[in-house]
Amino acid sequence: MMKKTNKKAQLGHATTWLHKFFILVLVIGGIIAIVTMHYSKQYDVRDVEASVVARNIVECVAPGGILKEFNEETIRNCFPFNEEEIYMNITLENDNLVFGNDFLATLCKAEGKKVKVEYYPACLEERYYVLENDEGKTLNLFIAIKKIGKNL
Amino acid sequence: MLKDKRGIELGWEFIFTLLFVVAIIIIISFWIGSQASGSAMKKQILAKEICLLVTSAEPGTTIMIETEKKMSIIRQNTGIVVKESELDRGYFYDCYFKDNIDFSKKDDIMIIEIR
Repeated sequence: MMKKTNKKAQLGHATTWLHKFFILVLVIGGIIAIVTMHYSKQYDVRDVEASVVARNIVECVAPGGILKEFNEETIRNCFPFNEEEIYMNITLENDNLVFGNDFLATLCKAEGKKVKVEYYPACLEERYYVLENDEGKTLNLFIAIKKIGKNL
Repeated sequence: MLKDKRGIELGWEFIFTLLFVVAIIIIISFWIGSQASGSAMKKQILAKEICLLVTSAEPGTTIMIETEKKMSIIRQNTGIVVKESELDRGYFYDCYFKDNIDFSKKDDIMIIEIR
């Protein structure tokens, strides 16, 4: 009889400890969540980053404004990029080169049509004039950068 | 005698709970302090600014940045890590760094060379 009562008491004691522990975890978790939300504001640099990428592409394809080479290998050797985080559509007259995540282009189009997108990429469209054998050509660039976790 | 034993047990339980709660309060206070001091934001801004500066620099450029003594700026693959101390995990930002970029440190000055 004595043993049975002790067992019940032990069980009750353990339950109260579990309850205390649960409340402690809840309170600490709440504090951490609030502080993290308040202080982890992100500084969005993707627009500037897209401009830098565009300039680097132009410098690779046409250093000093004079067309050197326009092919996939030139762009790939230009700078290392993560295919999941970037989309690049480069057009020189009738030649077109596409790299990266196509879905980012779709998100950019959606944003342009005022569709509410919560996590949007940074989109940049630029046009450059380059010379090829003294003939002027248009280089169109469309760049989209994702990097949502680090910028939004 | 039985009552004394239970009292001692309760006493130990109280001390254990008190130490546990105090330790948690201290850890959380330090953590909130480090977050509120803006060090996380400072690391983030520094990493992103350096990333853009280096990516847009012409070859043959040397960038010198005066940093705090304990702060370190390290290249990690194609990105950059800004750490406040050795124990700090740091802030990483992926850039578009090629093999022509060298990072070195002399006293409190960080030297970035773009070959």
